[in-house]
Amino acid sequence: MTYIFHSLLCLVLVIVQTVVLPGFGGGGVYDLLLMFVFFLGLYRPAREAVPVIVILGFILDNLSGAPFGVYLTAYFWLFFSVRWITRFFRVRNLVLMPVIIASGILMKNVVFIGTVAMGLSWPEFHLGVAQKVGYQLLWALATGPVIIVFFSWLHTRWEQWLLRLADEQNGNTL
Amino acid sequence: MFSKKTLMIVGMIILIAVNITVLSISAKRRNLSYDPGQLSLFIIAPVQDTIHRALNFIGGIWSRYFFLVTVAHQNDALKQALARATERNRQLAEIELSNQRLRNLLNFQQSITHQVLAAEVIGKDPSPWFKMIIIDKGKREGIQKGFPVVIPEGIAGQVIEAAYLYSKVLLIIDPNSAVDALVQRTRSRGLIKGGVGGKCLFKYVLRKHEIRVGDTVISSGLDGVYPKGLHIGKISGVIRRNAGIFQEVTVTPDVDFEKLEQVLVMLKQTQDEKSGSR
Repeated sequence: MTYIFHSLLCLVLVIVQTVVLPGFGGGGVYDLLLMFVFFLGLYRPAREAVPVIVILGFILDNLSGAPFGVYLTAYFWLFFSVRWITRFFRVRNLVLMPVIIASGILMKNVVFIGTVAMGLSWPEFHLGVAQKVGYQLLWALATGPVIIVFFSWLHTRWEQWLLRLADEQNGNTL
Repeated sequence: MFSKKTLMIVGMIILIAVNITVLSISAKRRNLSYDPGQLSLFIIAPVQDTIHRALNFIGGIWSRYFFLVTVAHQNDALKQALARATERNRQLAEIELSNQRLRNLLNFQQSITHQVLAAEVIGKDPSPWFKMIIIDKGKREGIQKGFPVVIPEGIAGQVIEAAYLYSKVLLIIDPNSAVDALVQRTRSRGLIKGGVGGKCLFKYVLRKHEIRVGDTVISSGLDGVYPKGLHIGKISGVIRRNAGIFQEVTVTPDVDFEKLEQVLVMLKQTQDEKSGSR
């Protein structure tokens, strides 16, 4: 049942990312699905998260004009980086979260910039890069931790709702 | 000599007569003012006025309380009506804009000889680094990979993937896009490639060609994707270095890609047009 939650949340985030935000002129805002990847890395077990990451990366690769596999690569390695960082520092708190978010945004942009820059020479490319990455970083640092905590809260509520539903069904059958 | 009764009757008659006389005189001279009358006005009128105002105030409070209750109800109803009207107004404004856009598309459609299909943009690339859109028409409507996508202002991009109901369109501002183009005035050829920040790079333009900022760039038709003569944009920057065989040229597209809502997909070229573009 937790996969239904992940699927619904992914669907909402993809719609927000590709339809809602560009419609309101927020197309340059950071990748919201990255926050979902961080949430999975911070709060969910790997055996549950990895299939979600793979499917999510696959879907985004199909929706994007980026070369196939870029999203999958970025999400997969960011997920494992987050897990490694949390294990290494043995913390999962709000202090670490902005660090994870900032480095995650930078890592993802490095992957994407690398892909884009293959077709362009650096002098042609560098102009908009710093501005775009800076804009994304600021937005991510300001809103990212709240979004990740919100995902965690939402998931807890979902689990509680499922448990209550199961209890009620058991009570009705008894 | 006279009895008291007789005196009283005579006095009454005289009084009545005087009274009638005074009344008749005062009736004839109405605009005549009397000082005693003014004095009474001076004393009484302010009191009358105060009492009148007090009564009006009390009456006003009473009547206005009920009035305000009614007004409050009316206000609520009017606010709701206003909200409905505002919403309707917004919808109509949106319909008007949509109508205008569709009219432009229709006019453009009539002006080009290709068979075209109008499509709605339903999604944009999730990454800010790549420029791709998703349209609501696909193989079912006859769209295939490689079909050019245009709007009245100029070239938007080309179909890079067609599913049954939807298609992906790579915009010309994407770094992976390339359009064979020429400068309308000088006929200098080059390759339009997507840049950063919504601009394009006009590559491989020879240094010997004299091109200026503001020159119009059109498709050359030599790439086999876009028909000849479609607008791409205007030259916005030219750097001619001392060394090298090419100049660095920047082009600002005529299409506002941030506001792309409806596009036209060129379905196929006739044989005559193909031969004409070569």
